[in-house]
Amino acid sequence: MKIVICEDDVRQRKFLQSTIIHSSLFQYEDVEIALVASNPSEVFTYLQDNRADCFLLDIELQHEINGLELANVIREKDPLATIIFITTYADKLRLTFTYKIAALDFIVKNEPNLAENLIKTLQIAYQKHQSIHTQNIGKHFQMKIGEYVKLIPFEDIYCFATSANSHKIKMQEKSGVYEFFNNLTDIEQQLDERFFRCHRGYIVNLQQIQKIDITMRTITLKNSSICYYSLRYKKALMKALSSTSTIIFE
Amino acid sequence: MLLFIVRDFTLAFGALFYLLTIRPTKTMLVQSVSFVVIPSCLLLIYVPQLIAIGYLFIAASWLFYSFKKNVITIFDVIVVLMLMVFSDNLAQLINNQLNTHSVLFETLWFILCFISLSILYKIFIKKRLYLLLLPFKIQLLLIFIGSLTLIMFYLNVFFLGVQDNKALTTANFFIQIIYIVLVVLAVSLFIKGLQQMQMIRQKEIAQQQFFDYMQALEQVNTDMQKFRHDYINILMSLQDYIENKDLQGLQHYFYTDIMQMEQQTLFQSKMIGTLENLEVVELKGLLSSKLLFANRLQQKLVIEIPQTISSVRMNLIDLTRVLGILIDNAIEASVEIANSVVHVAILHSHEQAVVIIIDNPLQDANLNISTIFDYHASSKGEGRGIGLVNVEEILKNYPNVTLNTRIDKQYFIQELQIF
Repeated sequence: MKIVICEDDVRQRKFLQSTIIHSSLFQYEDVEIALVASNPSEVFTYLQDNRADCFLLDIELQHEINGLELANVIREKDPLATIIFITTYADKLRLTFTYKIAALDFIVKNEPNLAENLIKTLQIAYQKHQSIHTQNIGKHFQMKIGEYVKLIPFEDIYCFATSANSHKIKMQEKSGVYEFFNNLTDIEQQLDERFFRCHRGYIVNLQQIQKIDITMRTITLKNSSICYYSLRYKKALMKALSSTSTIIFE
Repeated sequence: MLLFIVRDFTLAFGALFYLLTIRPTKTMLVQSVSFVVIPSCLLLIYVPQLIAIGYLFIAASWLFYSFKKNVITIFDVIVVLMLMVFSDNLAQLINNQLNTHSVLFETLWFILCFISLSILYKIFIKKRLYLLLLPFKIQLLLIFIGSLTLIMFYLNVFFLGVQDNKALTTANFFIQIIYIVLVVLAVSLFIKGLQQMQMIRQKEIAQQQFFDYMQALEQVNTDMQKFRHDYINILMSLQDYIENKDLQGLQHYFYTDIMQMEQQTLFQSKMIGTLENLEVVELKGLLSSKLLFANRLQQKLVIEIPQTISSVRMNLIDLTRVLGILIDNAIEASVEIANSVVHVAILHSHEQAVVIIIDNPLQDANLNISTIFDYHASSKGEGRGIGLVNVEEILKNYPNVTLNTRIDKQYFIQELQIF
């Protein structure tokens, strides 16, 4: 994991550098500090012919290009790079960090446990870096909101449903309801065997079914929302469900 | 006779379930049969028909009201009963015209007319009525007019329609047509007026909000001038404290006199600073009024607009309504939580798309997220859920807008994306 530090204050820069070098993280062979810059232009020049995995940026850089714009440039070059902000604006720009540049985290400057927070965040970045290389994202559904990518584990998803009058798909999961543009056939391709297309307008998670009403042809899910199934999928649905015995039929 | 009754009831209930978009469950069907169908059949046999129909009307109204908990459902019951009479007349007329004097054909015509009229009603009138969110008084008025019309229709049928007279049926039918056309015309004019009134009201609100914003701006300006005028004096007195090494006095003077006095100015100038990048006047007005509102409730509200936002691809009246509801909900939910902060951000994502994020800390993490858009679900008692229902109704008209609602680490987050 190549780390780039961009910080205008000399003391702060030295502090960041030494914290990283003396941390346990630095013992991994593939962790290195690739660049320590005092202003964004240096980072730009570096990015011309090099790349890095993790960027530590000071948001209040006294330069014509601020940290936010620098982050945008980095994102354009490398959508998977990890960006961590160091800032004094505690949470003035929290949502911007998350949604605009998908920053991994931001670290508040004038806090006593700055070094500790920094190492903790870098460790998360390192894990993320490792998982990118092992391609371990098969069991999640990806949602992009702005630049922020939300990974939703398959087991948390209840169902996908088309909305009545547009190409919007509505997805329900344990902690949220999401809308996005797509079609169910394409979504089906991204899912695994626990999902079942039970209707022209519905895909359900078989493991989230609570009960099935055969007369009304409805499926009640564990979050008590209701989906329909159509006759032509009935046989396949029953077959797919035969392995699970906890479902109530009515 | 029995066959007719079965036909009429099946059609009427089918139409009602269709119009109200209820998927009938077993209990609903049992209730319909036991409270409405059987009693009205018995009445039909033993008492004058008019009373039986009266009972049918009242019982059906009550039943469907209990399903939907919405007064306007009664209006739909009226419409269905009216459509039945009307279709019956129409069927007779067609039958007479075609000279096919069989009951089977008449029934066929009747069913055809009734179904197509119901579908037309749903598509052209019902949807629009529902979108209007009519005030309660108006709903009652509509029901009153509807009931009167219904009574007139049935009186007409029973006093004139008994004799099976071709000419009379035709005359009757045309009178009904004229009446219906007139009523539809009157009601649609009335609704159009209401629509315009609502739009004007929304515009007035937006204007008022913008006016408030302008006033805040002006206030900051005058305060700044005043400050510039006094600051020499302030500096002098500060110097006084410093020369006397009176740190306590200095503290007192600074925090109670200067800071207190300037707090409002600071707040207002901060507010103008936050909204600087927002070039959409209506949104500027809305957000400044929400900032003022939150400030009055002593609720911290942080708004992030890091880049210039000059346009949004959504009707601004609708957008301000949606955002108003979402931000109000967020503020209301947070006021009860100490040291809570509501965050709102308006960001450009790729190209012209805009993402608006509203998040607030959550007290009750067990909220069932899939039910919060239900008409009656609200964690804060009856009636509060209506706001979110309105949001969903408005957003239904925008194929380019999506709304995510989720909970993440004790935060309730709503993401509105306008593509």
